Amino acid sequence: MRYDPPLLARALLRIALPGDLRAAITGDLEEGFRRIAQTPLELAAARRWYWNQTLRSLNPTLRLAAHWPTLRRSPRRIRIVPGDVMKDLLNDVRYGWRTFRKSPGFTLVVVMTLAIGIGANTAIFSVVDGILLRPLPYPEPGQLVNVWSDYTSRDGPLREWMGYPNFHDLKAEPNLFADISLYLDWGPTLTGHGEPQSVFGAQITPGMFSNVLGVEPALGRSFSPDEGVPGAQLVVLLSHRFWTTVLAQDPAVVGNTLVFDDEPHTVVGVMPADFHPPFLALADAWRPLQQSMAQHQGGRASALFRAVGRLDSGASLEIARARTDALGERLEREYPESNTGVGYALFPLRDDVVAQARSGLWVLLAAVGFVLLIACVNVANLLLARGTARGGELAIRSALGAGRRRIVRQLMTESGLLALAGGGMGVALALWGTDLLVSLAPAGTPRIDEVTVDSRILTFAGAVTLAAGYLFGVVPALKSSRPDRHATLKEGGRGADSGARKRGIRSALVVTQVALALVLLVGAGLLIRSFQQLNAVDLGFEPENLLTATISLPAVRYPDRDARYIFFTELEERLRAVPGVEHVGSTNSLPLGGNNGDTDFRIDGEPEPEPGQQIVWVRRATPGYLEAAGISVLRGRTITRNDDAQAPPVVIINETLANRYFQNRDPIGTRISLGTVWREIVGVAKDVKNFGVQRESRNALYLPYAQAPTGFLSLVLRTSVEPNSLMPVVRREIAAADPNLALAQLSTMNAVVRASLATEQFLTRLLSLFAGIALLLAAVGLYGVVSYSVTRRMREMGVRVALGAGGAAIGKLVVRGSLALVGIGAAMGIAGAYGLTRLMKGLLFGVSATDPLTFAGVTVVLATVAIAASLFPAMRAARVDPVSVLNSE
Amino acid sequence: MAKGEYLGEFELVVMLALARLGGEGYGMSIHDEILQITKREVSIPAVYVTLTRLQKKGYASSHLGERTSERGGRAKKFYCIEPDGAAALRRSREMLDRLWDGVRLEVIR
Repeated sequence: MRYDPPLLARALLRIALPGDLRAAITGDLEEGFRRIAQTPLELAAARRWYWNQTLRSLNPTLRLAAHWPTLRRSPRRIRIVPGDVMKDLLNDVRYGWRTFRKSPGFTLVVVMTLAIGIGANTAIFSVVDGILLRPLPYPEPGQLVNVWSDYTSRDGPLREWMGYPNFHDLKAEPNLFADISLYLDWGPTLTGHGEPQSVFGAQITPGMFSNVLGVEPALGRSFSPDEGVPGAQLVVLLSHRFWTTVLAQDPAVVGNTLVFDDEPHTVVGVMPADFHPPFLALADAWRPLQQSMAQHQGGRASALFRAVGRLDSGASLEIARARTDALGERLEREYPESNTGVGYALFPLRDDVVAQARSGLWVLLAAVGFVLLIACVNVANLLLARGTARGGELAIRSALGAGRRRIVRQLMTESGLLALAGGGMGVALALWGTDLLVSLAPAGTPRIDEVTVDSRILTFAGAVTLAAGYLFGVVPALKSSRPDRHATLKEGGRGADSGARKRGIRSALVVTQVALALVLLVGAGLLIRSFQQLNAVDLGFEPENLLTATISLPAVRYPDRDARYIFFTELEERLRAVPGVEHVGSTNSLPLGGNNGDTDFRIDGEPEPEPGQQIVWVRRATPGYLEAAGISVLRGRTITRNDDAQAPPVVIINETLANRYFQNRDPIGTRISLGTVWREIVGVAKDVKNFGVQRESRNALYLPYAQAPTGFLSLVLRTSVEPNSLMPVVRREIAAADPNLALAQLSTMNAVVRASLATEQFLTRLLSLFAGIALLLAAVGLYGVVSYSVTRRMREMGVRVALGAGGAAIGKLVVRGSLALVGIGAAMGIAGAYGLTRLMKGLLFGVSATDPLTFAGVTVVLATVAIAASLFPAMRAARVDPVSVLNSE
Repeated sequence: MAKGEYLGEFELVVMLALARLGGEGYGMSIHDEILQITKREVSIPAVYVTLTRLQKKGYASSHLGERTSERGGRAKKFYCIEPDGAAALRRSREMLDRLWDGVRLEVIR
């Protein structure tokens, strides 16, 4: 009969024993076991013996593991022993927990600091991830491209929208696009559903959803190709949001009729709830864009439509770009008068729609990264100080036989616990912070609705937590685990600094912190200065006390120019009678309103320019508009009531146009043409920022509305009272003029100006917030180090006082010491900022990335805070009582 | 003189067991030898920890024997004393002799 040693004990030994000794030891044990277990009676004794040996092996095995670095050189490695690591870990966790409960203040400060750092990082990362990193939520999103007209060689913006024929030729290219579609904003008024309301929508070529984006309606069907032909029956697809808010999720909506702009549209479907294409995120209604080569709006290169396409599965972006370039060159040759200087430009859809947000978001992510680093340095400094205070405890552990590795492991476990607590609170903070960021994000931030906190974000938070725990834990653990046993124990375990080395490290950490904080401060300072510059820009009009209302007249009820002219003239008369209104006027292009159509022009007596070489942006204005908006007329006269359809055509040009084309002569009286009609220049108006505060003014002119009426106008009211207070009256007057009109936008011009700077403001505020946190953390860190150094040097201070040094001199000594640290940190920070702020260049307006004023300013702020932070410890040092200090020794 | 030049107590016990076994020392035989002479049951892994340390100091060397079935097919790992180990043993003994010289325990008590 053969007996075997107990299975469980053998398994335990297998795990516990280092590889190179496992065979020898288990062999010995088995031999011993068999020698005892000769008969069944002795089996129990043999098992007892084996178990005894097994359990006693755990402790020496641990010591073998401690020899790991030296044994590693032998051919077979010792395995780290999982069983014991777990046991130790549990012990360390329990011990750490007890330690933290003994010092709740310390624990709270550390956990909060980490929670702020980790929370801010997680929140900003969730936004960065949702906007910049995640692929668009469509099948094969990499094949989606935005297609623009490329006007690089013309006097316009680099990228423009597209004319229908140019689109048609692009679509006809074989094997280039799986499908490509056009779209156009559409802002109809919905009537027949309670109050008239304006709807934000788009007209799209029928294949956009099914073929380009690859999304089918949740209810009903997509558009069919024949619905995109001019004259086809009007149909509409609705957003889930519209279906919910306006139609109360009516399940029988498909087939019903809705009236948009007085025309009945048959509802063919409802899109899924999460469908918000990033380039049309706010759209609630889509109808087919009805265009054909036989019947289309605008010319070949008119920038009327925007285009988005899905590349053929065989076409890469590079191939597609090469082919569209070739096509563009061919069209230039075939249609020189429209296409000269016009090409195609393709951009990956995701990168293109988020381009405006990209640099700002990366700067924010870098900023919170800095905040976390500073937080880690702070915690590391606190742990170092604590390590010193715990020197006695650690020295005793070490004297009792704990190896350095063991102590390091214990300290790292404690750091890990702190990091975990901080990470947990950080995630809670991030959940709240992400919601806050999304709700505060400026309107129109692309893909903001796709920002969520999910497992991806939690993984990130976990990784950041681990990294932070290691980062702030490793230096204190290594330093504190090497206590000078003799010195510490000799001093009765009262805790002593193990000398200049540790002090050096703490100072280095504070210097790092100051440097990091300074970089952040410079970044925030530059954005603040840039924002000030933006607000100081001369807009060319007076935004104070200005109310605007945009009105779109349905073509069905206002078919001709006379009807539209009469409507607006009468409405302006009504509004002029409202008390508190000083001037009323209308335009088709509000200041800061952006794109309003450009055209070639020709000056009388000068040769006809090449197409696209001499371009002007056309605005229409009613009499009184320039006065109401506060746009001053620099020369000549303004638009009057006499400039009607029967009067000779006139035009008012802007400063830029006057300066560029009439350098040495008076433009007044000269005639210019926008096509067929010659118009006399009767005035020169001040430049108005139309394309954004940051942009240069372009050539522009004003046509009297009576001589070129459109269906779409914005009213502008100059008020003598708070403009918001007039909103109800204005609404009433418009409803009285036509009860079936919806007001697209009713807002004060100040709000429009603010909205145009909302992104910059948002970025500036967030970065300032992070810089503020960084400064606070750095100040706390500095305070900690200075205060600790004062405590340690109390005796020295006492001696100095005893020898006749005054309190002020002692205080100065302390402050000078801390300023030395700050000075080094600031110098490093300035050098770092000098290199890093260049990356922010694209975000700055009117201020250089290395603006000396900003650099000097934030250094002064930092120095002030540093002095304040070291003042309390300095005062404590100054009040030192030599007798009590020296007696306590 | 640094402490490393003398053997610790358990090191001394293991080295002397090795010396007594004369090249036949491996985990189990060392265990038996110590048990028989000192009436002390040692843990075999503890013996190996010490042997490993001694080997690192150059006091002992090891080689593998053949596999036997009574050991579950595992080879014995034999240890013998190296010249440095012999010297260390001698030093320890001389030191102990010197220390004992003139010690009269009843006086101390």
